[in-house]
Amino acid sequence: MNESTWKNIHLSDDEIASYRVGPLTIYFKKILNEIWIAEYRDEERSGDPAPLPEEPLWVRAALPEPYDSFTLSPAFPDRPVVVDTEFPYKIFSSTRARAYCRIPVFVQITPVKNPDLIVAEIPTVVLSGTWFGIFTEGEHSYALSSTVRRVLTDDLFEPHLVVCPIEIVNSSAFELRFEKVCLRVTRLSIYSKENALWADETRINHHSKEGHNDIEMKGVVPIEAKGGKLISKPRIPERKSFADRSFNLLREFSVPGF
Amino acid sequence: MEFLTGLYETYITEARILQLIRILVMLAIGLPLLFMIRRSLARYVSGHYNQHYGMLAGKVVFYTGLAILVIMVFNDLGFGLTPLLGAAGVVGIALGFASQTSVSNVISGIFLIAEQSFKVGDVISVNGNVGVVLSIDTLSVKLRMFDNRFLRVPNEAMIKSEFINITRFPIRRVDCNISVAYKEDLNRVRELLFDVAREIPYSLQEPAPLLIFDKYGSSSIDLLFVAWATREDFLKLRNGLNMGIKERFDREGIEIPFPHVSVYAGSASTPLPVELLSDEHMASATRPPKKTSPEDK
Repeated sequence: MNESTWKNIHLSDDEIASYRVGPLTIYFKKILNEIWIAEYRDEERSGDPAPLPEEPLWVRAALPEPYDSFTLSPAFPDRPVVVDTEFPYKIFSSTRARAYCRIPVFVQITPVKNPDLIVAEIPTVVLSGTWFGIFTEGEHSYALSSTVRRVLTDDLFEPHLVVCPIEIVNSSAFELRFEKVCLRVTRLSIYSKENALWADETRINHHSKEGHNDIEMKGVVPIEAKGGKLISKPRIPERKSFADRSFNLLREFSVPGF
Repeated sequence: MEFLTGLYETYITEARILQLIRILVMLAIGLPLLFMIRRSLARYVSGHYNQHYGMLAGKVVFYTGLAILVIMVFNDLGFGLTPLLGAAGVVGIALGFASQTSVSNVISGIFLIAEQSFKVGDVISVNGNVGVVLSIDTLSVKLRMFDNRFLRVPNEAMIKSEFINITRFPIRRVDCNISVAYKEDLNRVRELLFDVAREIPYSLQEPAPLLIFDKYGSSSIDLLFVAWATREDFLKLRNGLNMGIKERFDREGIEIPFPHVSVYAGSASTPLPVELLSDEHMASATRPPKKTSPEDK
């Protein structure tokens, strides 16, 4: 992805502007101090914006001032993301593994003159919901259809996807088996380098059999994207590390409440 | 007259008037202050924790403050705490006998709050009545039912009866009872059902939807399809699933059968012969017979 993908747009009164990132096209219209926003998704991953649908579903917002310019920037989803490992994964005691997953971003729209005012956040891909936890407690998360990869290849980079490096360290005396990883993306920053978006590294240190782990967000650009530029700060800036559950085995839900 | 003047001089002294003013000032400042503290604290705790704890914190502070205020007033009037407590004991026993139900409700209320089976804002079902808990008060639990009626359940009744807390856990299961004709391919039906669930954004991927073969019914194969949603999205998923399944079955030609009855005439294998009549035949068959007058005979 080019850094120029995330640019400012200028709106004139009663004129419809459009913008594409990945499969998402966003349409803008400005009337006095109102901004009208509509969205449309197709199968294309790049190219020109899709034509305006016949009956677009406009969302209108009245702004404190009639702003002309808006910044479009990538933001992580507003809930944790659960990523499938494709096959059950096992990490032996005192072993580490580095993996990568790709997460579709939200497009955050803010006036250039008032960057703290978030006018809208539109997901580039509509993610389905999932539950990470047990029947009585857990987290409402997004489920990701793409899986965790061990090797980076060029085809992994797409304009609307952030590559998240994950370092999993099994410090416990037992082997770690899991089928899903929960990423707390609301605590991650986004960096841009050349044609790619990167997240800062998440390090998950598994040290007990009970399932709780130390999760550390490095807060710096990952080594793969050295020299990258910070383009989006985390939604939750506090606490760089915390203890929580990160791995899930499907069999935890094998008795579906009967 | 002299007697009244004597009384006036004995009781309405300067000290007594000052004492009265002091008490009035105490009440005039104390009571509004207590109400203010209760409201602010309830709002603060509700905002930072939840509505239930807000209500509890407000009540604890208000009643403690009120007790302190009453003791201060009595103290100022010259009544010591010890005789007051003694009197309260005697009065308490008398009141206890006179108002057993109320006392039972008060004690039940304390147990309800301590047990925390539900909180303010939860949706509960009591004896078939479903509503949102508005408050857990000294004598009763107040609910707003979904048709906007107000329901008051005495605390004692709540303690004694079974109730269901519908929103206690964060996710809920939606059950869809589905019947399909015997001729249908169950693997295809299964595929369609999972597809419908996948297309609804409120359906959670985990816990995964599940299809359970229920039974061979008299006219259909009965299935149970379950999917999960967060408690906030429960109704949206239930409507979405049921409407989606009907629409999809109609589109794919999957039959949802109504009860069939096959009638046999004596033989187990040969059905009763049925003759289809034309419209004219049907009309004449259903036409009422002509009335015969006595002259016709």
